[in-house]
Amino acid sequence: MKRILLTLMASISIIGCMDSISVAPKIAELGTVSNAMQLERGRAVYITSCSRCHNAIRITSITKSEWDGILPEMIEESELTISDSMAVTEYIQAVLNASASAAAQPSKSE
Amino acid sequence: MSYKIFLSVLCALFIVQSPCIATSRTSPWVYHSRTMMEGEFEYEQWVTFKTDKKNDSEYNEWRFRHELEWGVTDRLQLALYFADWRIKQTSEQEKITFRDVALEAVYQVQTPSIDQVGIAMYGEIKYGPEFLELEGKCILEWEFEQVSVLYNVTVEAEWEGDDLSETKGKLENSFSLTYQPEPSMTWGVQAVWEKEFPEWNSIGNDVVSIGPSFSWQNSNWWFSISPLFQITDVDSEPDLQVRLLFGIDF
Ligand code: HEC
Repeated sequence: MKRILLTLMASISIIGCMDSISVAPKIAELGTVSNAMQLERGRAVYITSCSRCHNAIRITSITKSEWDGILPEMIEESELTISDSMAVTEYIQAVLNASASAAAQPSKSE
Repeated sequence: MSYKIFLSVLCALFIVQSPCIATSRTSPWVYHSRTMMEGEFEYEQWVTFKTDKKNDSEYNEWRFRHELEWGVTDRLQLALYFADWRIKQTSEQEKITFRDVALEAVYQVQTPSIDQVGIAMYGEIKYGPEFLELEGKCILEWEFEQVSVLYNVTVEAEWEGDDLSETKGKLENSFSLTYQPEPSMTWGVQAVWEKEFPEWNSIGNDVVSIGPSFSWQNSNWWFSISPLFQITDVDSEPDLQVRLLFGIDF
């Protein structure tokens, strides 16, 4: 019984971690970036201000061109300051770029 | 007449409103830890229907609450319930009663996100003819991608009767689990477990109710609805309760 419980807890926490990585990756997971401070701020805006009305949406579940349409609308909904809007826009951009370049890179084992 | 004025004011506000931050509630029986942004207002309407008491086959009750919420700061929210009233039908009579007015304060201790649990503290005072109630609540909220979990623990002290001589305590635990298939909509389940302590010296029955919930929002208004079915066997408590909440932001 104890074992089942432990396994359950472990898997929940693993799933939990995986989630926070893929919904809105931490800056360290984006590879080398030049504007880490700004991206940190963008991520903070994304996971708090952008989850006021709905849960934070997995950034890579939306294509770049869809984001171009949705993001300005959502920034307006959120009544963000100009600097927060810029930070969150850069962060989303960086996540999309990182995932695009990861997809473009052939895996090393091949 | 005054009700007409009230409705016109509401409609007017609805039309002239600027873009705003909804603080939609996905679970009518459980509070969440998000508070409104500074300077935001919201009107919230509660309608609760209770029926099916085993000890009174004719029991039916409608409860209405009109509430105005205000974001004082980004973390502190005040609310005024400017009327709580009921239409209650029992085997003996049918009557409409004005129950109370109430003042509520919610303080967000920690903002919920995928990185951390949301925490809020809630206090409320209700006052009416022959009625006084104090309520304290601790609210926890977890966010996992499309799933949210809410937990509230509530302690209540109530004084009722001619000279407020009848007292009782109440302890309530409530849970909600919701799934958001798309940003404007959630499905979920909710459960409420209540226990009363009449005169603070005896222990009442456990009453547990559970049921599904649904919520929908757009940028200016939202609603959530949930029926709760009693799964314990307490004759003096309704077996079915349905609550509809809707909010308009301005
Ligand atoms: C005031 C409430 C509110 C805030 C704050 C908010 N949103 Fe939204 N969001 C909505 C609503 C309502 C919808 C669904 C209806 C629509 O698309 O307008 C939505 C939809 C979306 C969608 C569309 C998903 C799809 O499948 O089409 C995305 C993406 C999104 N929001 C991202 C964000 C981001 C990023 C932010 C922060 C900058 C944000 N939202 C802040 C209310 C909000």
